[in-house]
Amino acid sequence: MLKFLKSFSLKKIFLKKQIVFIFLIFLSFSLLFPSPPAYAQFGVLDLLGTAGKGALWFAQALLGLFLQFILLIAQGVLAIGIALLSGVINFTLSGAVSLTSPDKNEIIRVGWTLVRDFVNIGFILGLIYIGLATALRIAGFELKKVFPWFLIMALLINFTPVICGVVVDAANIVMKFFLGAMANWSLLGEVFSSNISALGDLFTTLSWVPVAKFVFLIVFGFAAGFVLLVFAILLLLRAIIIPLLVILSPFAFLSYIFPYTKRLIWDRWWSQFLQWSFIGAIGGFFLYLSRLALREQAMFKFAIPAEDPALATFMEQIAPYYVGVAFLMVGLFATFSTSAMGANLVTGFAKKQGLKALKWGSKKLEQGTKAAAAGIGTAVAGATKGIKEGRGVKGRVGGAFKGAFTREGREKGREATEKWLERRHLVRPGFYEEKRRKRLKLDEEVKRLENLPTDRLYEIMKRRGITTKDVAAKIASFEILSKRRSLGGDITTPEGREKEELAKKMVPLAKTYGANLKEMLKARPDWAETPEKIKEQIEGMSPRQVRLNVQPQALRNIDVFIALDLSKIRDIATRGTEEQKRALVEAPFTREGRITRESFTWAEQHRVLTEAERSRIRRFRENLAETEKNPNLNRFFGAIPGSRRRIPGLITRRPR
Amino acid sequence: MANQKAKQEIVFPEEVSENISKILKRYELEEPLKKVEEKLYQGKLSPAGIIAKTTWQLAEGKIKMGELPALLQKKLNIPAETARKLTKDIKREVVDLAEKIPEKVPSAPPEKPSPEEKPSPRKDIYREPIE
Repeated sequence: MLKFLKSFSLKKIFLKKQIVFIFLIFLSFSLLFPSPPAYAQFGVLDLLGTAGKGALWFAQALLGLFLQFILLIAQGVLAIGIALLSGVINFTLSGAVSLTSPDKNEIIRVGWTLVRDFVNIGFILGLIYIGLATALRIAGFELKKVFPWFLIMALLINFTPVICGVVVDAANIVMKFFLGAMANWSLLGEVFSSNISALGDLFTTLSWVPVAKFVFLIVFGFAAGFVLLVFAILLLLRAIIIPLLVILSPFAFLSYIFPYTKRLIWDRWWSQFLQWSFIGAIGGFFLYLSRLALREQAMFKFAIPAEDPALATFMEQIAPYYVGVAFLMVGLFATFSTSAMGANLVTGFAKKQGLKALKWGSKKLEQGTKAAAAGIGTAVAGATKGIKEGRGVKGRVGGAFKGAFTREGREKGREATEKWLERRHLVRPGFYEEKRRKRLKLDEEVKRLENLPTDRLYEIMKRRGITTKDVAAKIASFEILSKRRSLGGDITTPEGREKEELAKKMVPLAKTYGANLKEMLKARPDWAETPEKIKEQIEGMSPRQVRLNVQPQALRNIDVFIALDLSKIRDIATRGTEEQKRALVEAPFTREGRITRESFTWAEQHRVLTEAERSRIRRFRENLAETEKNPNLNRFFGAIPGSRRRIPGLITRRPR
Repeated sequence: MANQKAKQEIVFPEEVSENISKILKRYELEEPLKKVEEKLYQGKLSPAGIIAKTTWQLAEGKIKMGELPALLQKKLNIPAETARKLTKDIKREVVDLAEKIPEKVPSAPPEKPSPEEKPSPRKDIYREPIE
């Protein structure tokens, strides 16, 4: 029995290509070969004869039954969407449960009190530490600098619900304005009730018109229902996430004191809090617009020339509903895309940029809204690319999400689409790369930032890329640092290590957004993808170019070391910087150098050497011997018997 | 590392390692590359390394020319007469080529990677490498 039922599962039915094929032909005939009454009387149907007509009528009736079933589902989806959204809006606006006040929300009261008490313990421990550090005179300048903030925050954590309340209330006022007067969404469902009787024609008249009506209504039902459902879920999530953020607020305020925790916790918390507070206002704005479009139906009614007057009336009637749904869809995407931007706008305001930031933000919001429509296209392209690249169902779904909703995903989607156009000779070669740089205004950004000090550029690179401007500034900073040969830092110090990691992390992003990687590869050939590419890069430069361009960090890389030749080593030994010389000597003794040497030894012992490997071994030994017998470099060897000089980080054994 | 007290940088020209190779060949002290590599990893120096190191110390003024024959005799395990001749050759072909730049160049000279290299204040000692 179960087996029998399984054979009728949707998946199996759709896998049977023949069935789908027949169904499609059936549908296409119904839609593509209209048979208006006049044509039906003297046309093809007459040729078919009574038997043919009967068969066609039977097929149409069958299709009608199928469409009726789908229409019922679409109507159900829309009804659920309307009910849920109306319910959520009523709940949100009623103020029955407070999102920020511990007095009116038991969950916040318990959770927030617990977190606050826990954070207070942290403050007491901090005070003890500061007291001891001052008494023992180990308190540095940094400690003195954070002390005022420490006191301010110790006071403020007791008022976080009030502070959060101010922000959420401000957002709620805007939201109330948009959503207040339009809780009734049943207007959307009216299109069904006013047309449902006309659909009966499908079973009485042999015509394609009722089929078209069915299709229009089904698409409308699903689209509107889905969008309303998503809006409802978004508003519902807001009511859950804001209290959660309020509960965690004492912890976030504590994190504001120290620069590291501020970056790690406070910035994220604040950004999330603003996003979720204002997402209702932005969503509400678009819901308001779509509701307006539905109310002002006359605006969107226009004459549609159709041979069938019934169809013309139907089309005129349904057009405003589609306009309303289009507003809802654009609004949904804009809510997703502009929520972060809106939050950023308010963040800028909070950071005392005042009216300037407000003006800038309003402009961005306007641009963002305009871009949202274009964004839908790139999101779809990104999702498609994500689906293609994903593995398995989970991977594909994840890929689609990533492709549609992340900046990198959308960029990849754009790349795939524009390169596809290029392959078909629809756009000129190099179109994508050219457009990408222009879109981000990278050249302008480079010009704007090129006079900033190196540390400031690292700060910019460290920022989270929320807006397009952020991403452009990050990539421009990366390009300027490449040109300055200041990519990365000395890995023996924590600061240098942080810079090194930050700069290296930027490489994929820079690649995606079309940064000038030529300069990067000159400074850091060790960041090329493969040892072969490293070799190609080094061999393409003269000894002088290597000395002037390659950073010391790159010379510490074993593949770079092997790619060098004697003339390049001698040139660095004679005219290079101290760091370059030291890096050259250190390279074979680093961890990677040791692993390379061990693999060479293993390959030699097992006689499995290829010609390329043999050449690598020869180069490695020659270069190592050169560093040893060159007095300019030899002096850096920490393991020289009797020498007191040691190279930090060098893996060598001192002789006993 | 340049001698901080003397505030001068010692730079040997490019041909110096080639000259050391020639001296090693002349006195039959040359070792195969594999052996050089093994010694380095054991924390020892090959004859080339010993000469390079003593050369640097001589230029720095840490050892005197008079002490060099005895030092080389001990470290390279060679007869006294050979050590004496070797010292002369090292002086003539290696040590004398060293250039001492009085003003100490900072550890990270801000050399800009512009396509046009700025004229260096020191003498151009670039030579074509001898392979």
